[in-house]
Formats: sequence, C-alpha cells, structure tokens
Amino acid sequence: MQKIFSLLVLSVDHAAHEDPKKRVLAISSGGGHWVQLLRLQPAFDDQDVAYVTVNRGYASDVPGCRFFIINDATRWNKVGLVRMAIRLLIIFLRFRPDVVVSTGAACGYFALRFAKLMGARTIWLDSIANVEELSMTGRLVRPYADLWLTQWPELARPAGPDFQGAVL
Amino acid sequence: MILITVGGQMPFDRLVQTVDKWAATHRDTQCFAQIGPGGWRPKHMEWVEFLPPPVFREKLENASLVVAHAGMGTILSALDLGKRLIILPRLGRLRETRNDHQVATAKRLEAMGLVVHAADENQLLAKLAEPNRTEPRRSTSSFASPQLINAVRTFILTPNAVLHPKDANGNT
Repeated sequence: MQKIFSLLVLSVDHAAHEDPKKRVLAISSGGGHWVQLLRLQPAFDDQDVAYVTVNRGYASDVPGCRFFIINDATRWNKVGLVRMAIRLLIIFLRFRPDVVVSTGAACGYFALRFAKLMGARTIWLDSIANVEELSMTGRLVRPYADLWLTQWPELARPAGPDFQGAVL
Repeated sequence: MILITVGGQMPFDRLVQTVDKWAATHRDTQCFAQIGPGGWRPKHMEWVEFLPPPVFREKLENASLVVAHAGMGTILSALDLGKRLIILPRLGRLRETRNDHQVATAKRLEAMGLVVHAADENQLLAKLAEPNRTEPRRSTSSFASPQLINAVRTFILTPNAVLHPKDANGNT
C-alpha cells in the first residue's frame, strides 16, 4: 500500500513539471454551499478543474468541466460518511489535485484531510451563512486548511480565520 | 409572479402555510411554491416538492418577488437577478433547522439592504401587504468579490504561499 502511495506521489510530482496548469478540485455539498463554490469560478476556471458535489443536476452549472458525484451525508449519518469518504478517496486517486478548495460541508472536511495526506494545498471558505460564528466543520478543518477563510470581517482573528472578501 | 421557496432539502411548513393563507385572499396574484420533500401541500397556489436547478432558475427569472427561508443558495441566486426578497428564517427551537443561524443571516442581510426580514408569520403577512417596503434590490455580481477571487487565485498559483505558519501541533 505504501509503495502504491509513493508511486502516486512521484507521478504527481512528475506531472506538475510538465503542465503549468494547476489541478484544482472544487468540492461542496448542495444548495448554498454549491452556489458559493460556483461564485469562485473566475479564480480557477483557466486551470485544470474538477467539481465534486452531491447532485447530478448541478453538472449543467459547469459545462465542459470534469464533474464527480458523491453521496450526501451529515455528521449524524456515520454510514453515509464512510461511503462518502471512500468515494472521495477514489476521486482523489484519479484526479490527484494540486489544490483543493471547499465551501463545505462534511465532504469538504474529508477532502481537505485527503488533500493534506497527498501533499495538496487546501482552501476552506466558510459559508457566508455563518454570520455569528464559524461553522462546526469550519472549526474542525482548521489544522488542514492552508488558506482558512471566513466571509465576515468580524469573525477574522490574527491567528485565523482570515477575511479576504466574500462571495457577495 | 411570487416565487415561494424553502430550498430543496427539507420542508418549512410555517412559511408555506402563511403564504397560502395570504394567497387565498389575493387570487389575482400568481404564486408558485417549492415546498421541499414531504412538505405541507398548499391549497391556493401551484406547488412542487422540488424543482431541478435549471427549472428553478427559470421560475426565479420570472418572479417579481421571492419569499424564502434564509438559505444562501436561494438568496444569492435571487440577488444575482436583482429580485426582491422577503426572508422568514427557520428557527432552531421549532426544529426547522439545527439552530438559529438563519435568524442571524437574515438580520445581517437586511442591515446590508439586500433582503427584507420577517421575524414571524405576522410580520411576513405585513410585509406581503406592503409592497413598498420591499424595494427592488440592486443586482449583485454573479461572482465573488474581486478581493476574494484574487486571494484564492493567488493562493492556487503560488505553491509556496503560507499565510499562517503552523508549528508541529497545528498551532500558530
């Protein structure tokens, strides 16, 4: 297993030298999380981007882009979470992202953890719906988020999360 | 046309029932409701449990007013199109969602002049009766603020960017 993993890492390094484009994996659950993810598109739409979300109907929002579906699950559905994590791991092995960006929720937590295991860099943008405090997932991903952002200046702290603008 | 939506994930009967009551005495106003899976079925307006995203978009484009929960998907999509919004937040104590975060969202967005916040059913009926209170909203951009786009883009393109160097324990 370890051998396979190091082979994988080596091939990622190799590919990175050949193609200046970054492989960006953009992931979120449905509804508002997805709408907010789409609003970040200009930040990576000329890179090699793959979208991962929970609703097949959303494919029409990102025509021509690589698009993967996972099951939706929350922290109250442990079996669903395991299924989600396995599905996500397979997507990671296929796409091998350089950067992972997520607006939440549970799937973003797994994505950031897998990203750190595979040496990818990570962005967490906490949902604009979290006005008074960071989301619970937003707090949990803290150790795995290289860029850890809130969308409300009042929630920013010197040690993070940072405020760098909002989706609105 | 007034579009009523509670999102696609769970019903929000208090909102649908209140607007249905209003619709009963305003037969000249066309209302259409997305009531959520298993939601209470209105008697005085057209409804559907869930609209696929492209169909929802079409309904939204044709709406003159949107009455909704404080879901950011609905709010951002409606603001994109410059639609007027009346927001009745889901309450945690009525188990309409996990906690009262929708109340905070609705209040904040109202303070920014983007939506009209109705705290309860009576306020919702009052705001429906006062169309002048719900001025057309300015259309926002379809994308995040230039500052945020730039921050994310710079991070993606700069492999060595480290904002908050962490020690081995993950503390800053």
